[in-house]
Amino acid sequence: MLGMLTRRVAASVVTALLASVVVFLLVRAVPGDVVQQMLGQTSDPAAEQALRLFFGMDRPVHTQYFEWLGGAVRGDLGTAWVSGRDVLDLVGGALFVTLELTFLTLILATVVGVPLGLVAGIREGKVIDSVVQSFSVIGLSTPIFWFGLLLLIGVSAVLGWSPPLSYESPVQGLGANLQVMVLPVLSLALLQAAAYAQFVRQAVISAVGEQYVVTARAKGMPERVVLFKHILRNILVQLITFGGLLLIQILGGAVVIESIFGLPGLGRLLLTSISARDYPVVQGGLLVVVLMSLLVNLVIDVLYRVIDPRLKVG
Amino acid sequence: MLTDPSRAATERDDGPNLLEVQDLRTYFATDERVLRAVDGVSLSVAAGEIMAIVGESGSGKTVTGMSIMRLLNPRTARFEGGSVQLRTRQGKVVDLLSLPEKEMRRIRGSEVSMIFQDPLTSLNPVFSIGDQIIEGILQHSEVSKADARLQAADLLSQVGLGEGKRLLMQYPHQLSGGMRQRVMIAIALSSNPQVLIADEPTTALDVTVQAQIVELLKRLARERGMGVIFVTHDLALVAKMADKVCVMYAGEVVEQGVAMEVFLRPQHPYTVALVGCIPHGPSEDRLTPIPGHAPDPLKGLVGCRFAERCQHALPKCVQGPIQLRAIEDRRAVRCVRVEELS
Amino acid sequence: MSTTTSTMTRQLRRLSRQPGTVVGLVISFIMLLIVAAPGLFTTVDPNEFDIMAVLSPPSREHWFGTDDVGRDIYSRVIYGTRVTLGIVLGSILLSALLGGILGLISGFYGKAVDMVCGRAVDVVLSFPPFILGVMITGILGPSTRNLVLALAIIYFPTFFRIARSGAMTEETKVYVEAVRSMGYPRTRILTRHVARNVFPSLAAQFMVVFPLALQIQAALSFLGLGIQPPTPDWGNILESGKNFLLGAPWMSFFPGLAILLAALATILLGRAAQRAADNQ
Repeated sequence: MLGMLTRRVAASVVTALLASVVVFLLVRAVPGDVVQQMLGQTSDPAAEQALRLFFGMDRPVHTQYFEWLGGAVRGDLGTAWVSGRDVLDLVGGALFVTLELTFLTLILATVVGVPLGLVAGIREGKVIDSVVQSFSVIGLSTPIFWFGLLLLIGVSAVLGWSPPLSYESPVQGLGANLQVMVLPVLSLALLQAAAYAQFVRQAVISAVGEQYVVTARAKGMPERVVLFKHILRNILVQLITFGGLLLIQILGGAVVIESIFGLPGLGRLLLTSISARDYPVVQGGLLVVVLMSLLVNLVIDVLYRVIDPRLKVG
Repeated sequence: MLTDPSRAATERDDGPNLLEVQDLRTYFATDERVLRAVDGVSLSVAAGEIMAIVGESGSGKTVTGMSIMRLLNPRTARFEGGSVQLRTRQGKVVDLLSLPEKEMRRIRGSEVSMIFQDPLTSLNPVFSIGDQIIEGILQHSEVSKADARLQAADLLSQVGLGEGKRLLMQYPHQLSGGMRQRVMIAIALSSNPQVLIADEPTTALDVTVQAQIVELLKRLARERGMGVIFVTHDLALVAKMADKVCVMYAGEVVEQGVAMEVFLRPQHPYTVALVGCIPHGPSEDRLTPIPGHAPDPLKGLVGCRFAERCQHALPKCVQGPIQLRAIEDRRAVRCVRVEELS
Repeated sequence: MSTTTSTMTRQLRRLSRQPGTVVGLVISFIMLLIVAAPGLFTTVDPNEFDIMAVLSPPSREHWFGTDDVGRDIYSRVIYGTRVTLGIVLGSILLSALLGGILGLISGFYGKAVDMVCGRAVDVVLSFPPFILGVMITGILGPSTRNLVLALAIIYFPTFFRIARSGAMTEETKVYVEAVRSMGYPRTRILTRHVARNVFPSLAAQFMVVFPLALQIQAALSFLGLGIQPPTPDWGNILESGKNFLLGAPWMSFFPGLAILLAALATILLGRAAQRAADNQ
């Protein structure tokens, strides 16, 4: 298992490197850069040149890349060109917010989606199944941002409440933090719960037809046990894998939600830094995103092997 | 207990019947049509006796076993009359078909057990052998987990898996096919059932392992006074190990009698053809398959269902329903021409 | 004569038992009609300003209300249908074409092509899909071309993998040996036989991907990274309404509803198609 693990990690590192190269080249593929943005149209060419030198933009691309990479492996992602702040700091702070959003969403989606899927699967064809399926299909069709906006105005119109304007971390004030997060999490979680419910339902329906379920019933086990012990344990691996996929999807969806609700997360940071052409922030931010995504996949692979006894070697 | 026509023909002299199936009819509802999977089957099993049900796929032999255990989907399968009378350990007689589900669950795995064809898929791959045996034990008795563990190890040695304790911790995929089937039998035996239904237990196994499993079942039936219903398509196997046999075709019993006698002197044309299918020794070129295929189970059929493929069929065969008649002591056949043909 | 009518009635009866499929068909049919002939549904010019009727709620004249410069929202949504659905359809087709062809080549021939494509796919998959879209359209500049490019890249891996594994399974099948022994060149085997067998899975994947791509496209437009105004597109109509949520919620409500219905229809039809395929 250790051998496989090192191989996977190595492959992930290679992928991350390739991805970083892609990002690096991509930002430099377009004309117009941060300097022009910062100084405006009517700028003095000499000033522009000086800034470019300061940012190291005069040097050949591959040199810039290796310098950046060298710094990155040491944990130094450079400084933002627009604000001058340390990129790692910036990204770290934003990452915290996004991670909070992501995990809260995943938890809510799991708590709502999985039980619905289980019930619908075991009672296939009955009313509850149709209800869950309708919920799934509508949830999957709903645009997240539309739903977020509707929630915002709906809550404001009906309850006369709107979330606080600025983000507060749970360390600073749990109450305020929850107030800020509740609507964003709800908006994101709907879609994911719908996806989870549909997946779990399908997994249960497949499992129900399996022979070991018949055996369990033949032993006289009550339906509750058949479902929660036998079937659930068998589809656990699939559930976790799917959870990982959802996690990555939520990361993507977080971008829009952060934009709507004004959360200072990684998504919003990327949006602003991309439009400002602040390369170090864009590179650093995207690198972190890619690393997280690869990490999630790696963790799932490991969990997969730990949970399914058929895959345990030796 | 009610009388059934075949009972007179095949009852052993020792002991009462543990299970009596009377005119079992299991119908499946599909969209607009009805599938009569089991259409009036009667049979019985006494203590220590092995009753075989033989037929090709689609004959209804598996559905019969599943019906007795009430393991079919209640939404699609229904019973149209008939009864399945079980003599419990306490001596009470209950009709399994009319029991509420809660009661039936107490019977399943305890008074009547079932083992299936493919032991790999029948066992849950993510739980250890021990877990799966112990689960069954704990479901039907009040013993402690530690005691259940001891019982499990003991059961494993009873089915010929000597190193019981070590095996308990292993997973199904780590065992061979034969070992897995023995585990299934151990699970089925855990609460000392009155009747064991074995649905093609050896079909997925090697020939040598087949023989071992069959021997094991015979010994267990004898030692425990347990009735065994052995479902299979292999008539030759039946002749070697069963006491009685029911030959099924298209949902009906077409011949019933003492296993070895039915094999040596088959009376119903279908049984004759089945015996003819069995390769005998060196002259294996005498394999004569039965031409045609089983009738469409959805079409309502009048008269003999084998008539289409029977070389002796006459118009009178399809004119009206044909009864299962006792033609001699210990033999019943469903054929209007049986006397003429023998 | 009588057999065709009886099969038809049987099909209709089966359909009536699947309300989802019926809903999907109805919505799709209406939307296809809108795409083909928007003029049938509205006579108003989607870009026409009417300063008198700025921000007015839904009424008999303006079914979906008007926006902040007096444009009729209903008409904009109708004309936006062609834009939005067209872009998504075009992007996925491109993705399926590229992914399918490269996947078939990789699976059938392997070696260098497979290695390069495999690495490319890994890189694409290491980004969460929406972030990849933001990256491409944001950095390269928001435009229709970049939007199509982004969507095509995002879904390239899934079509690639399906085509590749399909090609690999087909290659081991007996008929390939048979045909090759008859002297057919490998390319011919690939194009004629293997492609034909892989096509159904690609088509099925198309149905699955469509609603997902629609959501991403709409979200990108919502962020200003997609179709640029004044060309009406469901996403950017919604975006224009986001500053007027409390005063004029209809500006954002109706385009969002359109997205929902389109996605719903494709999901329902996709399921019906899968059920039909399973039943065969």
